[in-house]
Amino acid sequence: MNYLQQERLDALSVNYVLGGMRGKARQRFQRLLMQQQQVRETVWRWEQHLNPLAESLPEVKPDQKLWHKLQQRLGWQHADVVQLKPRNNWLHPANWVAAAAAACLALVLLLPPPAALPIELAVIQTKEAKALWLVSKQGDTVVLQASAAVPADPVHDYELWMLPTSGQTPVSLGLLPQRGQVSYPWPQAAAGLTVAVLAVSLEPKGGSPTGQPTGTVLHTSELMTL
Amino acid sequence: MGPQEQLIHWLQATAQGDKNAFEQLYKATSAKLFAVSLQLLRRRDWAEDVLQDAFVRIWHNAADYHTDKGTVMTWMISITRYRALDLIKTRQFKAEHIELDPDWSPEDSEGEPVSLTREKVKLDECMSALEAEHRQSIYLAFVNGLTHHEITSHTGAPLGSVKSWIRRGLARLKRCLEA
Repeated sequence: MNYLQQERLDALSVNYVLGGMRGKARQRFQRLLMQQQQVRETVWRWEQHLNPLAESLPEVKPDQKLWHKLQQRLGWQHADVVQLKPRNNWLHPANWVAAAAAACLALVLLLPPPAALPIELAVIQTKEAKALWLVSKQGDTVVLQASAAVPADPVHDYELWMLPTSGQTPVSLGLLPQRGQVSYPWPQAAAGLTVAVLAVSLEPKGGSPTGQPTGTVLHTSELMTL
Repeated sequence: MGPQEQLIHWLQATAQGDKNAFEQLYKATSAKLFAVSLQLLRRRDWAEDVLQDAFVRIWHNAADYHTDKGTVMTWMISITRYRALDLIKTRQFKAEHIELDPDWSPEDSEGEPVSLTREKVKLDECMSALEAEHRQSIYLAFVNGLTHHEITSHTGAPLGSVKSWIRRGLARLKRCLEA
């Protein structure tokens, strides 16, 4: 790469590191970051140049309860993981901690050779650890892939929900395919929220009429970043 | 063991699933990272969300760290900053009342063991060598997350000047740092 190109790369990298890049430009740059070593190295160099600036800030101790919340989010403390209304007992941590643990195991078995791209994955599976769907989120796209084990149900649809860590109401991520795969944009309503757990509910054809889960919750799973 | 080696040690253990090491890492760095997040977001609740998200990422991605990415602190600050910047974007947040610190000087950093890296000393040196406007604009853009426009309304300088201060300041900073 010649000098001018490196100069341009520096300008782009600085803009990225400073947070000045938005929308499409940012996505394009993030793609470049994934694909090209030189772009990564330039960004890392600028991070190394500039991040020590942030180290000069006087320290601010976070509240002690934050450490507890963090442990809860990581599933180390199960007392009141997701603070939701008691009647939502299907959200009870005990129901999904085991599923998440099993999903991790299933995930390891299902994974393709290590990919360079950061990706978030979840395996939705039965209590008998039979994988039903593979959920993968990359950037603003979520891809839902059905396995052959999904029971065909002509009368209902399976709907996928994300439950935010903030305790807000579940956000629909779309209808799960009964076979094959579909991809959806990550919903606007879920932007900026962190996923505590994913859940699948059985809904009338076409999905929940209310925008919230109405039917039985069949499965839950955790989203993992790779 | 120096501070960087200590952090690497904890991070490596964290990558192996060692919860105690992760707790040590949290204790050693959370106040720094919280300051970073708070400075960008100016709202305690959001800054707390970001700090939590950052540590969840650190826990899951500890094995992704390698020294090409800089010191452990650099890596962790990047994770925190990008998360905070994402939040600023998704919430259409605008920095309204910034109480900044225009007289920023390298002496501000008290002897925190974690922050006393070679990189930091060098950066302080190079920042001090910049002209005041350049230094202040870079600081506002990076530490406070202000856009060029916001810096304009903050400093009263025209947009063209702010842009060129940042551009020229950073070019000079790079030359100094990579010299």
